[in-house]
Amino acid sequence: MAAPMELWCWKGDWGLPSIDVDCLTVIAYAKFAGAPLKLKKINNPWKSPSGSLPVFKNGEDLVFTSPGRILDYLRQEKFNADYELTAKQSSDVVAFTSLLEEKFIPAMLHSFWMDARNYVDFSRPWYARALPFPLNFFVPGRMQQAAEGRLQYTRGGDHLIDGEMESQIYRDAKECLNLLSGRLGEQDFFFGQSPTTLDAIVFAHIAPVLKAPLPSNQLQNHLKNCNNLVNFCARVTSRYFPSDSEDADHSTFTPSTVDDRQYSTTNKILSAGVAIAAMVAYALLSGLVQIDMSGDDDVPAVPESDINVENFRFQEEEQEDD
Amino acid sequence: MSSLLADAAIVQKMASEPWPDDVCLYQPYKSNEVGTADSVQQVLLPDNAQCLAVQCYLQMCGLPFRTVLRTNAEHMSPSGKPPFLRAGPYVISEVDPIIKFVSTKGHSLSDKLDRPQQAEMKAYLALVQGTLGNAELYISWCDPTTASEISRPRYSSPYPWPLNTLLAYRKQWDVQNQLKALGWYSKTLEEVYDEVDNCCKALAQRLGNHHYFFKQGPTELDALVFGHLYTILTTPLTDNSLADIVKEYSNLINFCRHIEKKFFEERERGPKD
Repeated sequence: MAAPMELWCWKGDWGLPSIDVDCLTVIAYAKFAGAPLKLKKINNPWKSPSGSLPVFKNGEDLVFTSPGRILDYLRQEKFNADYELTAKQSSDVVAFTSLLEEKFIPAMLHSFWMDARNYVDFSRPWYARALPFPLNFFVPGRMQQAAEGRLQYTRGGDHLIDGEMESQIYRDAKECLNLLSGRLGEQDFFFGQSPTTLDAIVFAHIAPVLKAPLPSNQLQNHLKNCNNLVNFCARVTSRYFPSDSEDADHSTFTPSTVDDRQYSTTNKILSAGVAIAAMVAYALLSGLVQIDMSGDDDVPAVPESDINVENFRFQEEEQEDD
Repeated sequence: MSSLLADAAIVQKMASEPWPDDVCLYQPYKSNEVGTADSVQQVLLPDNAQCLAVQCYLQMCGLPFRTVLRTNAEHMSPSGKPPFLRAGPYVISEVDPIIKFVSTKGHSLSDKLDRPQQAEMKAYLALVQGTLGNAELYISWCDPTTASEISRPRYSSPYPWPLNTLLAYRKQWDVQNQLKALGWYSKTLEEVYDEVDNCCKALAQRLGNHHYFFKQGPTELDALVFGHLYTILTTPLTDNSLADIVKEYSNLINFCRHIEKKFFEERERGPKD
């Protein structure tokens, strides 16, 4: 326990410590259980052994990447938020976790990645900005493909008509939110006065949907009507993440400023570089700058000064082909 | 099909008609079915669990139906998954839509639950379908021994060569892709058994020593849990690890015995009620 426990995660925004569901689950649980966790917002999934964040590290040997395993480990280390739960309540935690996984996650993936407007105006630019330089060009696209694959294989099928999958998954998610809202009722947290694993998981799922400024967001609109869930999110943020919610006022990202900010110096230099490279390549291939090259390796050809330029080029190319 | 159910006009039309007499439940052949050739041993663990859950649910509702066995039930089903129900002009496949369809006919087992209980029931339904369902798919199609010794031969048994090989591998490919998308494919067999154990533990703790999950009586959760657990307990696989996990929980075994006795044996003994 000498080295501090570290969590590599996606960075936060809009008053949340992280915008990723899995990262946020672990961060919220650690807060609830009082586990000292050092956050390293690396925003680079390629540094993870599993290719996705979060990564939990305690010393050099202990590395976990699945949120379930991380939570189990924290419980082993006596950081337990569930002391007061009965056996039946612990089972409820497991069941509601599956409910979110089965019914809510598909709609969340759809609204962040499959909805064309949200993807182009929000998710892709957000991740492109968060990711380090070479990864920002293709990791958002890959994340979208992963989301699309998951929805196609689990909820899609040839028997569905256009838009049927979409309406089904949103209906499921809304039902799921209503069920959670009914389960929470007027309580502060799902099992009374103090937060547990279930609160961490529910918070991690609904807070990003509630806070992300998605251009079109039917899920968010539905969530805003579940007042007790909105209050629940506000309660968790204000009690456990006060510093992050202060940052929200000067949030670094809103969709309207994407275009100004995203194409910053790196991208300008890069696009200029690509343009120059393309022009030079075109010039070389089409023979515009051939005269420069002819000087070096083809000196004997020079004396025939009265030769037609066209022929000269032609011979030149033939020699190069050999 | 469930999009049709969402359509209010159709729901009303469906509700106005009573439960038809000629309801048929189509499902693949089982090995021990009376009156079938021994050679047709088709149904696999995951499909059988779903079929049994639907049968159990209809029994609990006291609705008459006839089970029809078809080798191509999977391909007849509108969603590509057995079982499916033919009730008058409607064809509905898979557990959730069938339960919804039955409730439009005025037969619902979960009406008597209050709101938090309904939330709980839906959560446990998701747990059972998500964990046990995926674990059954994983063991049937991603464990190389089970896939080659049991799943592919059984799945392909109704078809002639070379169709049998092609269809079996195509099915395996589809299931593997589905589990890859869900992150289950990268799990090891041990991790899958752990998931099943966690799920059974949660179910056992939730059930306690009662006959049903809710004190108001049987619900679709009881039907679905019975479908999965009974299938896991009675299906012979290459080894007994999966059944052994369930057998650790004596109250789940008692639960299965009780449901079997109450809804299956009594029905077989007496004529249809």
